[in-house]
Amino acid sequence: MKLDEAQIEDLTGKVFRTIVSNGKDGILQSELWKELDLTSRDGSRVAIRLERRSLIRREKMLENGRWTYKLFATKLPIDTASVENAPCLTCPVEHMCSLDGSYSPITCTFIENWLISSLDLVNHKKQDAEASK
Amino acid sequence: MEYEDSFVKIAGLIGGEEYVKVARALLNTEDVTDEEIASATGLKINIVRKVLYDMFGKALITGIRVKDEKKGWFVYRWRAKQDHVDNFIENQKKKILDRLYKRLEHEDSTEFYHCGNHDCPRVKFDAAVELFFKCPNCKGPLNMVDNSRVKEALRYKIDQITTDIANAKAAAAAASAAAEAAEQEPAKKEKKAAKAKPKPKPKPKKQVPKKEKKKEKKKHKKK
Repeated sequence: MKLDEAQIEDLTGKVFRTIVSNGKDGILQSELWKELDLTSRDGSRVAIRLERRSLIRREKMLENGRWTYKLFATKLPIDTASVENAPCLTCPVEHMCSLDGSYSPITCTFIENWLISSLDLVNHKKQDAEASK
Repeated sequence: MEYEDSFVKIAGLIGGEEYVKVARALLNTEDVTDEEIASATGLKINIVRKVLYDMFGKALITGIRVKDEKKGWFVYRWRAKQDHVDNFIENQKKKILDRLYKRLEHEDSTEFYHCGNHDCPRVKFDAAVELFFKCPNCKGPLNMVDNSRVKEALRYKIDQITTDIANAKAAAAAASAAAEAAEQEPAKKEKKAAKAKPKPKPKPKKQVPKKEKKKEKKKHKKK
């Protein structure tokens, strides 16, 4: 079945999102086609389209004795996990925060609560992972 | 990991759902007015304005003043500064990291006393001695606080943010290297193509007809 222009454009978005979600490790073309249920013909067209727009780069590599391409996003969205829920980002008195000011990082309870809760979250995740093993 | 544009991600971090809606509207249409954003997102105009002014204050968007030809008054058209997003978040990370280092230093070098009441502040050792180990707020007895958990949390977060900053730097370097390589690629291809072109064949030497050759030979013999 031949895809029309709108379908290809829609597919391009899907393919790009999947490549980005694989981060800096990238994804093999063949795996991507399987994941999105695409024919290699349509998939290659989309990959070339993305490469022409400089959104991805394709690296040729040998996989199970066959030459294939691995697809990498040229620019990944910034990782904000480390500062997620940080109180400083939404603090209304952030501009007045200093060691000798009336608002100080050494007495801020919001920072303390944030740190403790993020450490708890990590510990819970670790425990869950161990339990599932 | 669900894909989300960096600009929308940042908006979500600094303000939550309302900011995300406004950020998406800004990305969908370039040079958009507050009223257009309000109708696209379903948010109240005053909330949209509050969000826009906050984002403008953080240099995440720019606005240009244009005259509304229908109404005759001036309106602002807003545009996302997507290239500023990376810098913004890097700066925020560095600021937070700096605060965490200061806090860790303070926690490491100070002994704290507390009455156990959540509303009361922690007291340093010197102050606790002066207060005869009685809480200045509730007058309860002050006991030494074990802050090892806070210190552990601080160390974990510092480590996480430091790694994050280093990774971002490495990714930026790799991206610029890839961009450079991509720029050089056409030049290399041209060079290759030039090498692969067949050399022009040397012009064939003028061939002297056989009859003339024989005549010349005869001349030589006669001589």
